[in-house]
Amino acid sequence: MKKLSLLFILLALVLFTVAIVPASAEDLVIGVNGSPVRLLPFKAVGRLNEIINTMLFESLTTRGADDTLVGLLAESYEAVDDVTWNFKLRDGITFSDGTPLTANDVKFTYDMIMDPEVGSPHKTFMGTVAAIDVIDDQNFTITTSQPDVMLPLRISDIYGSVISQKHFEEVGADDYDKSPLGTGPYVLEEWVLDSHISFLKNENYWGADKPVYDRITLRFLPDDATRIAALQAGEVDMITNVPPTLVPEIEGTEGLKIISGAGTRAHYLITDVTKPPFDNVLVRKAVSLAIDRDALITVLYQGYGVPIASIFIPQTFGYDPEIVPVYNPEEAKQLLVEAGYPDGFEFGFDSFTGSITDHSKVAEAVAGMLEKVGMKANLRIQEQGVFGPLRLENQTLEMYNYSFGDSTFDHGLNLKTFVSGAQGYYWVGDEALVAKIDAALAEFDESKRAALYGEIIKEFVDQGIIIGLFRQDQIFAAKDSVDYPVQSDEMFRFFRAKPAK
Amino acid sequence: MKYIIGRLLSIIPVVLVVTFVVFGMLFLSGDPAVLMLPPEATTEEVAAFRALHGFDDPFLEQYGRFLKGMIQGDLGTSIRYNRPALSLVLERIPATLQLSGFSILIAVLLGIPLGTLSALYRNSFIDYLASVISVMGQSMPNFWLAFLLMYLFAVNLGWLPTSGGPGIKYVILPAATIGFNVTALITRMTRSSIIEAMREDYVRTARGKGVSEKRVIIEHVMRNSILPVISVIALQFGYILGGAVVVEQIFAWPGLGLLTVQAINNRDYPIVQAAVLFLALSFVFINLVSDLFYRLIDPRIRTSES
Repeated sequence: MKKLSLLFILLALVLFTVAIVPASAEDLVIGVNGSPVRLLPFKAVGRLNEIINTMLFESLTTRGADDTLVGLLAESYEAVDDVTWNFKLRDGITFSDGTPLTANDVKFTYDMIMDPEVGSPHKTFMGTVAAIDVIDDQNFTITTSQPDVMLPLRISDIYGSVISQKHFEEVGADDYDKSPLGTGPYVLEEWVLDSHISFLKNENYWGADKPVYDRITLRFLPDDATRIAALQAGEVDMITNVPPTLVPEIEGTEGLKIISGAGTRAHYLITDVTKPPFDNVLVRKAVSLAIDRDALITVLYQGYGVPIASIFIPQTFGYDPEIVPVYNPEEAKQLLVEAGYPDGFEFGFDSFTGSITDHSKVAEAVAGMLEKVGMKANLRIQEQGVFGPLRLENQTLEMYNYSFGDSTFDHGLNLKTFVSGAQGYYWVGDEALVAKIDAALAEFDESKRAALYGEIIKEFVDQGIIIGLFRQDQIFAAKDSVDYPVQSDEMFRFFRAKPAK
Repeated sequence: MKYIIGRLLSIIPVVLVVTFVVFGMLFLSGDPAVLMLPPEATTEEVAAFRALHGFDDPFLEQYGRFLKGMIQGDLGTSIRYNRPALSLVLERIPATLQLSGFSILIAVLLGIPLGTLSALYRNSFIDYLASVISVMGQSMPNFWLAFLLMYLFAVNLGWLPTSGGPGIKYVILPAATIGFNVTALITRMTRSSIIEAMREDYVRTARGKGVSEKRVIIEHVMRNSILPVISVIALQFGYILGGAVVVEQIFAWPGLGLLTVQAINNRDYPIVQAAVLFLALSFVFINLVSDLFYRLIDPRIRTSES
């Protein structure tokens, strides 16, 4: 036994003395937690496919380095009336083989996406597009079947990535995966399914922001601890998706750093407002006041998050930074008395496991906070596969917690779902709010629309329609020698990485 | 021959039970459409997805469809890869067999000499060392040993890569992780089997005849005590394939285990079904082979049955 423990102590000691191999400035190796399945943009779906798409392909619009929506292939775009958009392509854009990009390539690609026979998973994003009409090589119009202020947003990045008509007609869909031809900053070097994918700098890149690294390789490392070990061993220069609990492991290693930034996922509570006790707005307000969001973020996410008052993350279009949730358990108790629950009450609280992020621990923490002010939650934690259908059918207990990742910063049509009384959102019959949402969705003037969104968000908070908890941040780890700008739409644009100065 | 055919036929009920259990468990784990789509999916999207993949049909109908497909060699199409699940599984098998083979190799090369030595030199240092290894190997969970080896040999010493593959330098750590566990069993089995054989009359007779101790050990003791060890190794092969599931995920070894875990995470049910079916069939097959091998080595088993 003595020998055994001695061996373990020795091994443990070794674990803390870690050597880091310096990175080469030309190559960047990144450990990621998923792997791509397809490279042809309009057939590709899922996180890693979206990320890899930004290396090879480009759309008319994208989010610039400052996270605002900007034209990429499009030099300009404008709505000339409610259903017609004029687009103008930039001068001198070429595919990586040197052939020029024209409006015909855009039309060809978008027609493919909209063709039901093709079965593109992005068809819904093009849902409002009725026709694309080419005017000349650089100019074309998109006509929508109904007014759609979100069109430029909807076709950004992978959803509207343009492929080469000529190359597609030569090789077909399956071989386009093997020899992807796009206008992006990198070209494919090698792709081994579920192992790694590497890219070389596109020497013909048309854009002003030339890629920095000669080669970028993504290694598929699904296990969190393995990704960290690979970084510590110097095999990779950067890793994505660091679990908050493993942040100290990185911080304790010399030569490594944490890179974090705003994410898109909002955690929130939904209450069944159709029956007591949560039909009373005072009770919903009491719930919000009883939750110590800073404690949730500190305990569950090591501080990587920000409190939110409703489902809207701070990046949301029209968001008022003045709206911050308040923690005041005394006031919460007071409101419960006013609402006619001086002794508090018991209620059912649904949560679930097995989703892309953890919900059950959030629920446990929230239940504890609510109990302190007299609202005793009877927690029921189920598998997502069991809970999900209940939610979609409005069959949940009086309260449940959920999360939503909004990478568009504009819920658009989802806003109507949130007040429809369906799909687990119990709020219904609020005609004034529905009218305001309709007005916002039809408003082409950005500042007017932002003002309407601001009013809608305020209504969500004041009425406690959706009670916000926090926004989850993104956490990466990298060698000190690497700089990577985290973007708040959670799209990893690795081509923007560069050596640290 | 009759025996072999009988054994082969016995695979059919096993496959039926295994597929039924796998299928039933996946069915019980909840609505696959909700699980496969992102949390943002709307009711309509979920319903459309359900209809597309036939998830809204009754259980027995879905199971029947699966069985019918299986007979025709069609285990369904992977939802994530959009390719036949069977071909994805078959593509990954060589990597998993390589890992399993190396694991067994490590276990045999370490376990048999260690077990033999500890039997011959009982209560010596080597015997104690063998016990320590056995206890550790049997009690340490795979995933824990995996990280221990990874941190020691990859992160700190830098001798081997942390993860990845395929390739010889990548297979060593995962194979050692799985192999260590099996080493423990082989060491124990070899040790007790040899100790038992040494007590046999024929050993005493051989010694009495004046046969050299070396020849006694090799020709009389080893030969007779190796049989149960071979049987253990064969049975362990199934365990190794199962253990590879966890270890492949940790070391990002591109085999069947990694595919399976990813499929479970992505709720890619056709792959999970195909992979579990393959594992179950190989288990049955290995048992059959080890039985036949047993009969080949030991004529007594043949005669007692006929």
